[in-house]
Amino acid sequence: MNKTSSRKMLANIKIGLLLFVVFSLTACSDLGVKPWERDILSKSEMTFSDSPMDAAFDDHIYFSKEASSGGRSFSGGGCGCN
Amino acid sequence: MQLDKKSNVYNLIALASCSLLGVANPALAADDITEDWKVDTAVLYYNETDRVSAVESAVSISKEFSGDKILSGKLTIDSLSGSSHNGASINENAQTFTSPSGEEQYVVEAGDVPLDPNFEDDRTSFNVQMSQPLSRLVNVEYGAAYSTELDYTSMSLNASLTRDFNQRNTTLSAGIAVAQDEINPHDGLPELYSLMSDNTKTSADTKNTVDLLLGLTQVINRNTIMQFNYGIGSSTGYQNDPYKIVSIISDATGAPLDYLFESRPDSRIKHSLYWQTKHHLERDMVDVSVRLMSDDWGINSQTLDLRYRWNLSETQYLEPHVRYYNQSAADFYQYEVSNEGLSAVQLAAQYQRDGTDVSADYRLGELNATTVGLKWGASLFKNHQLTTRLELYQQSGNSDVADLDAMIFQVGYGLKF
Repeated sequence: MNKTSSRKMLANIKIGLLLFVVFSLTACSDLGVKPWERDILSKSEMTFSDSPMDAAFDDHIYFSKEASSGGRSFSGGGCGCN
Repeated sequence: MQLDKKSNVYNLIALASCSLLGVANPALAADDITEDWKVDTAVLYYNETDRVSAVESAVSISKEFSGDKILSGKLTIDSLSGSSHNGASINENAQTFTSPSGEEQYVVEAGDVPLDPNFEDDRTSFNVQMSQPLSRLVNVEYGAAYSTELDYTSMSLNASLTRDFNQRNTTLSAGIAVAQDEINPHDGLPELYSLMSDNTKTSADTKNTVDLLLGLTQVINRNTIMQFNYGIGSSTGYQNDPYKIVSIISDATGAPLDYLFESRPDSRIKHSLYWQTKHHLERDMVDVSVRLMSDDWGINSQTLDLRYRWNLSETQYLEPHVRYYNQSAADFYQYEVSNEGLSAVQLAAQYQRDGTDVSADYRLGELNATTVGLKWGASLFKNHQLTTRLELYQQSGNSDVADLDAMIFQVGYGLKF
């Protein structure tokens, strides 16, 4: 590999890194909404605890029947002896 | 001056957007109305084919006070009965078992899954939770829970802090929960490494659990929100299921010589990663979550959960649901153990001397499970919500004892006032 091609490669890497940083920052700054854009997010179905009864029943069933628990919330104590 | 003009235009656009959205979206207007009291009730019927049936009822009440403080309490009562796998392997000979109390015997026919037909339990649990802001962006939540069964008592405390960042688009949370359980079967716990034929009992034992949960919630855009959680849980103390036994099979005949009560390690550390995303499609909504769990017992599991909320109208929706679960076996899981040329008593003594852990509980073996369900929800009147769901749950593993089919049916009614 001669000097010119290695310089070009270095330049390409620099451009690549720069583009990566720019795109990453752009992506991050694009995340989120302004306060007046929360019309859909404010719907109850968009909250992470919109069906707490179902979630609690399911946690109890799966905790009793499988070896895993928690993740979404605390895994907690309990028996599960059945 | 120019800055002022810009700022005014900015405010006008914001105001116009809010007004337009408010008019265009009645659902938003409804959601904006804060009601002080919220009551949720539900009844669940759970039925396994040829095994356990359960009825579980719950009522939850919450009240919002001034200063955005919310106090809530929940009472759950459930009752279970039926047949439960006792841990023994299927054998070509008929098998006779003694119930955990040592008072009754039951026979399992050759080739059948060994099920203890006398399983019965009632559970009552109560929890109270308080949520309140500490400052404009910081919220604290704390609570306590208590549950009692015929043979089990659990008490727990929890607390978590959340803080909003980035115009409330990012929320970080950290929480801790501690639980202390007492296992106290009516007739005592089986002595460690004892045989079913011994029927030797010991007194109650305890288990302590500490859970830490770190969370990040991020609004992605107007339609999408994500949540990431990392959890670590440590439990120490009595981890056994006192009703589960392990078949000791004769090398020579293939028949069971006796049954050893299971012995699990006395500590367990679990790590979990959880990711959930909700994406609104303007009318419908997709909810997907993945959980990865790993523990020092050698169990690794993956859970995939997918829901599609099909909003039929402003007041009704249908929600199909699919869940898939897969786990690897614990290091000490064995379907049955060989007598290695020893008598059952000698083998039990050897296990005790070496501190060998062994369990034949199929729930610690390789397992696949699938849930398929459908939920229907409707707003009958303003702030009254009726829901019902029917789900089918199916398990399979590396032996017939893990084959299980269950039906889940639930009706719920909630109101705000």
